Amino acid sequence: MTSWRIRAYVGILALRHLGMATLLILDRARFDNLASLRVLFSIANPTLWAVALLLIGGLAVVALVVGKWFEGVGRTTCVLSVGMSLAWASSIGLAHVESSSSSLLLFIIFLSMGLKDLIVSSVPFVGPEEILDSETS
Amino acid sequence: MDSGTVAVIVAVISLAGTATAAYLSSRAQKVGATVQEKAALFEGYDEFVSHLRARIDELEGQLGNMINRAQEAAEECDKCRAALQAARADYYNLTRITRAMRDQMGLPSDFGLLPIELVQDEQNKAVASSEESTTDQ
Repeated sequence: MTSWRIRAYVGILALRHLGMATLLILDRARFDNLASLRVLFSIANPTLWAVALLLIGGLAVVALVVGKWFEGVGRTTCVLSVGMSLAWASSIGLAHVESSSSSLLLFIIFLSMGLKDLIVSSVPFVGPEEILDSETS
Repeated sequence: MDSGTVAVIVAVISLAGTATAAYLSSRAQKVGATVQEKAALFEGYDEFVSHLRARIDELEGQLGNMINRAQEAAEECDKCRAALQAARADYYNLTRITRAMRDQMGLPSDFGLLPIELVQDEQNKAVASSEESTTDQ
């Protein structure tokens, strides 16, 4: 049993990762020139990051489609998303340390997204009130 | 910082975040299972409550009947008490009348016998004295 709240969150997570992967693949030239992502792309090829993002987004879609796997696959997706978001945040932060031309706003956004995924991972996917709500409705 | 160091820092942050998320996620999953288990205890709770309410209504009905019967008994008791009071008053009046009649008839005031019995007693005494006088002669 899962709540609509967490299903919506996993859906948004899928949208985020698949959207980022699509942009990385389709509009790679724009990303190559970004100073903020210089460190990130020095660690791994943009295509590899895109593949990783696609995998996480795909897992989120699988979690949403296959109901009985939702808890396990959804949690795995959230955990991987934490790692991915923190990798991006730390890379952007290090790029800012090396040269201030990097955007701190991106660092804050990715860090907060990673921490948000961490919080979502650390709580049960369904609360007692949601169980009672589903029983009464 | 050389690219190797940067990669190690990013990897460490990312892996630390992933590991923390995985740990918290597994703990939350256990908590979620416990929550669902506890929530299952509430299944049938509404039925139980409605059963209790029906039983309370039944008991309240019985209590209402008992109160009505007690009220009726109390009313009967009042009637009996009033009748007893009236009988006592009658008895008192009769006693006074009897005493007055006995005084008028010159009979001793003996409360141990009813007037009719006293008359009978006087007759018995008269018969006995006449028999005695006859024997003496």
